[in-house]
Amino acid sequence: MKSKKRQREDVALTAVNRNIFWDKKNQLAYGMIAPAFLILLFLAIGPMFFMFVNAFRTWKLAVPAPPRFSGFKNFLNLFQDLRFGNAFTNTVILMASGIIMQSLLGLGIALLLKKPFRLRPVVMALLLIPVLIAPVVTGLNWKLILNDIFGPLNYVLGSLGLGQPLWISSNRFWGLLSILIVDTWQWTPFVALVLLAGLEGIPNQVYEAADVDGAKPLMVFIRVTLPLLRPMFVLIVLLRTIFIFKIFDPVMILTQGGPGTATETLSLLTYNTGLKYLDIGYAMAMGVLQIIFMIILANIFLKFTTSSKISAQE
Amino acid sequence: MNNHERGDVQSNWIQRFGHTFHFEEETMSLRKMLFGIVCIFLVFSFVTVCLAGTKEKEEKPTETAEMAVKPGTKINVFVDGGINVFPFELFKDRIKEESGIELILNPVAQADVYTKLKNEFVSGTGAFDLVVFFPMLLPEFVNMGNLRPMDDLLGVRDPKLNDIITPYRKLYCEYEGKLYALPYDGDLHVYYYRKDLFAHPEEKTNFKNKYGYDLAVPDTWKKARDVAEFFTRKKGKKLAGEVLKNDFYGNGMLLGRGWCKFEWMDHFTAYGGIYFDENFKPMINTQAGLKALADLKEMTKFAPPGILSWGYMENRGSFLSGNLATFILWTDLFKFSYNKDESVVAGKVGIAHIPGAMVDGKLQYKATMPFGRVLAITSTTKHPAEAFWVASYMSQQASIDFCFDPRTGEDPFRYSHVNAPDKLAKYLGDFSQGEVPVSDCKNYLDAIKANLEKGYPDLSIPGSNEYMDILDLYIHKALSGEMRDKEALDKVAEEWNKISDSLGFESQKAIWLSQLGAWKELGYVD
Repeated sequence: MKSKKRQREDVALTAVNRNIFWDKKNQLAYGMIAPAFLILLFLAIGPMFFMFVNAFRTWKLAVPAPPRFSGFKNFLNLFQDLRFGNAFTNTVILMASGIIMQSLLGLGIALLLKKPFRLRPVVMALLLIPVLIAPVVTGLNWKLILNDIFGPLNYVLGSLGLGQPLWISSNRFWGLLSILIVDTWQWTPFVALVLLAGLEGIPNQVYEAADVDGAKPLMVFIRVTLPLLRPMFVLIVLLRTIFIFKIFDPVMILTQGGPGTATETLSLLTYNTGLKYLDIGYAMAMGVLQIIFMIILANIFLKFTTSSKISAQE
Repeated sequence: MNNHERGDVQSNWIQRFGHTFHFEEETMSLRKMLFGIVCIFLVFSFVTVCLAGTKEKEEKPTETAEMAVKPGTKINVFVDGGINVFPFELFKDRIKEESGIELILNPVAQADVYTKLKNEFVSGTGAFDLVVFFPMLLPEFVNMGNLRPMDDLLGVRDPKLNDIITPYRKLYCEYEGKLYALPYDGDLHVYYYRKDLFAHPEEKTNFKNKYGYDLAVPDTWKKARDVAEFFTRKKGKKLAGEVLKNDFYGNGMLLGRGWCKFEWMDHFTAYGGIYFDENFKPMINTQAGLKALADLKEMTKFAPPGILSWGYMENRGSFLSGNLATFILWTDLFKFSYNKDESVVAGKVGIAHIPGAMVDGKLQYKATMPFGRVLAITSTTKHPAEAFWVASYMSQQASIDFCFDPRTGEDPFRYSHVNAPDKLAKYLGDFSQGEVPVSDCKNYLDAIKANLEKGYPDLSIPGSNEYMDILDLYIHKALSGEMRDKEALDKVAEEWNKISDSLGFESQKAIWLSQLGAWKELGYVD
């Protein structure tokens, strides 16, 4: 039981809080954040809520039947759906291979660009071009480049006697590789520029100290450069994971998920389910699972970043 | 510090700072407030969504139509872009001159027709008055209450219904005894071949020596396979007396994702295949289905590499560039062959009925009728008379011109179209600035008639988009070796059953049986 004094204090605190809420200064602050908050509410929280609600309903737009609550049926079906499993596997393959390939290439380009040379500003500007092109345009261009018969890539490969693979139409390996090449072409410059920013942020004194200690270039790279680039790598991995997880345009344009479902990704399957088959409930359930997966993944990365910061401080 | 001491400090703090506050307390208060707003929003949304979800669609009574057309009315038209919106572009000025109606065209990509239209119908914005779509979607849109019947509008402008080729009128335009649409494009598959190669004496002799029978337009899939094999040649070899500069292929095929179902259907129907039986059991995984898949796999040996990604444009481009001997496509290719900008085979294109199969000593063949397009009036339009006037004008008055124009993708669908070879010859002659024999045009139009006699329509039941996409998907999987043939077709049957159950088995069955009845009436199935 609270003492009278304690109760008076509580009342006083509540009064203070009320004053705080209606305080002119704070009202202005609330007014300032209100538009952003409302936009977030309607554009992010609202649709997400809509998705969560409908993930638990059976709702097919092909027939004039109203949506009905179906509990966890959509989710249970998803766990038994081989097509969903296949799309998930393809997405993870693209994600893992894309991140490794783009990080390695990006690091190489960043190291090359770190040393000043005459055309450096021009190269930097050119590097930005793939990132600026709309993914649809990139997909269409690459569809022509990878064409089996009249594509320039196969022409060059054929001239060199290296064979002419059926890039986008033969099987899962070549199909996923084609998508990976397109994604890597588009996003490696971005990775390179972020890593270059990281490289330029490393103080020269660190390298001078290593030099004084007699460290060889390879040792400097492994022991100094890479550890100091770690936060940038974490950022790159996090961003690319999110982007590749949502990969849609190149897949849709290059292979449409084919042959069969060999290159179908989660985004494409969700699109097909929701907008082609109009199975809204099932598509929403797919969306919910993807969000949960991404939240888990992002938290793991963020924990990794935090632990890397702490270890760096230590 | 004990509780009393802490309380004293806190009350001193309150006294000293008056209205200022402790940061944690403020944060807590702010959090509570935000949490409250979000909760109210979520509860409100939940109630709204639930109410919206459970509300049954109200039956909207059809208003009595005003027959007079008001000049100045703006009609919003939904149509797929490129060669299929072109007829409207050709005639919009003339429509304005004759009726005073102004057309606002809203073209979309062909692949997006269903999705965009469905989005519009579900949201019910009433953005479109006149919509062009594939007739396979008609039952679904009618059942959802998205289209307005046209029977009471016939007085606005006579669409000359009796001139429409019967299967197109019965299957494309009518549903449950009511007229809901007018045809805009009469799609049909036909067999194309290079007349010059088939007539070359050296090729004829070589063919006979190799296969033991005369080189002629194949009437069975077995013979079509021989023809395709015979004409497949590598660069540097001779074809019709000339050395080939590129590899040449015996046949093109629609085997890309989204297309392969059409190619498969041409074979499947020849072997007597049908979508469902009378108990609505999928009949895809029957012997007919397996034979069709085996045929396709065999024919890919004589098709260009990468054929599993080829759709309409790749096949059309390759044939018109002179790199294919035969292939199956829609009827519009004939007129494109006279477009010198894209074709080197003008005057060399032969057209025949789709090959078939010998069943009990009798030749059986079917020509599938994929796609097609119809003009329909939305139930939300405020200008039904004007929308009907435009639909009737395009489907009747303007249609012969745009169906014969090599710049559009529309195909003949009226008796007055298929019986006008001289007009077609003149049209193509003017366009190509050359002589086009009337006999060639007659042969082309006769082939359309012959194929239509043995037509095989698209599946037109609610969800047909999903049924057909699943079929396409598993055929593609079988063709690419991802699945065995039987396994793939069994999977299609299984998935089709699931779709039927989710859409309502009994209602789907009833619609299928009514469609089957119409097919039987037209003699398309036994």
